[in-house]
Amino acid sequence: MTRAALTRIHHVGVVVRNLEQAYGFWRDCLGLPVHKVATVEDQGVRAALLTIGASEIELLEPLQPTSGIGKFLAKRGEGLHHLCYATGDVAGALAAARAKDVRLIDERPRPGLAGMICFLHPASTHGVLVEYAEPFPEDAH
Amino acid sequence: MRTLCIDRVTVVSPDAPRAAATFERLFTLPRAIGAAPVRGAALTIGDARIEFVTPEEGTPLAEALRTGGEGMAALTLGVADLDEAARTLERAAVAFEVRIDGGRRALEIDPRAAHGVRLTLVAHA
Repeated sequence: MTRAALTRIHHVGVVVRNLEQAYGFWRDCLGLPVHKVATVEDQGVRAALLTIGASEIELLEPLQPTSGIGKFLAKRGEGLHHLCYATGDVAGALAAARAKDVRLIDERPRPGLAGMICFLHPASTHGVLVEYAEPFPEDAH
Repeated sequence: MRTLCIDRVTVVSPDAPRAAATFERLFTLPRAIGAAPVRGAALTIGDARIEFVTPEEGTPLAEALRTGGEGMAALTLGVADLDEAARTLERAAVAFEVRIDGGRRALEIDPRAAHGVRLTLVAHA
C-alpha cells in the first residue's frame, strides 16, 4: 500500500445552522467529544471535529449566507455535506485522482481543519462531494 | 451513550452498481464481503463501509434521491449498547423508531433531531 492510499473515513461533514445548538445532539446526546474547533475564514465557516472511533464528524456552521456552506444551507437545509478520506499523502492521492480523469475542485492541497486537504468535484463521484485529508502530525489518530 | 464508530455511509443512486463500480475504481476500495448485510453493493474503507442503494419507491431514501439527487443520503453509527442508546434518546426527547436494518435491530432517528441527517444507530458488531 502506498502512502497515497485511502485508509479510512477521516470525517463526514454535516452542515448545521449553529454549532452550539448542534452540540446538544452530537456531543451531549451521542456522546462524541469535541476534538477541535476553528474558524476557517477563507471558507466562511466555523467548524468543529467530534471524534468517533478512528473517524470524526465535522460540523460546519456558515459565517455568511454567501459562503459555499451558507448557500448549501439556504438551498438544502441542514444535513450531510461531504465525505472525507484520510490519506498519508494528499498530493499523491490528488495526482492519482487527476490521472483517472476525476474533475477536481482543488488543483493542489491546501490547509484545512482536518490537515492538508483537497476536494474532488461531485460530478465525478455520483453526487458525493469527496475530500482527501492528510492529517497534521499533531492530530494523527 | 457510547457511540463507537461510523458503521457506514449510504449513497443513493438510480444505478447503485455503477456508482459502486465508480468508487471501487477511483478510490481502490475493496468490496465488503462477509460483513453485516447491507441494502446494496458495499465497499470497505478502514472499519467502515460505503453502501450504494437504489431505493424502493415510497421510502425516505427514495425521497432523498428525488429531492436531493444522487449522493450521500444517510449515515449509520455503531454504539456499544443499543438499549442504553434508546434510553438516552428518550431522556433527551429525541424522536426515533426501532427498525430492522439488514437483519439487525436499529434505531432510526428523526432527521429533524439530527440536524437534517438521516441517522441510524446499530449495535457495534
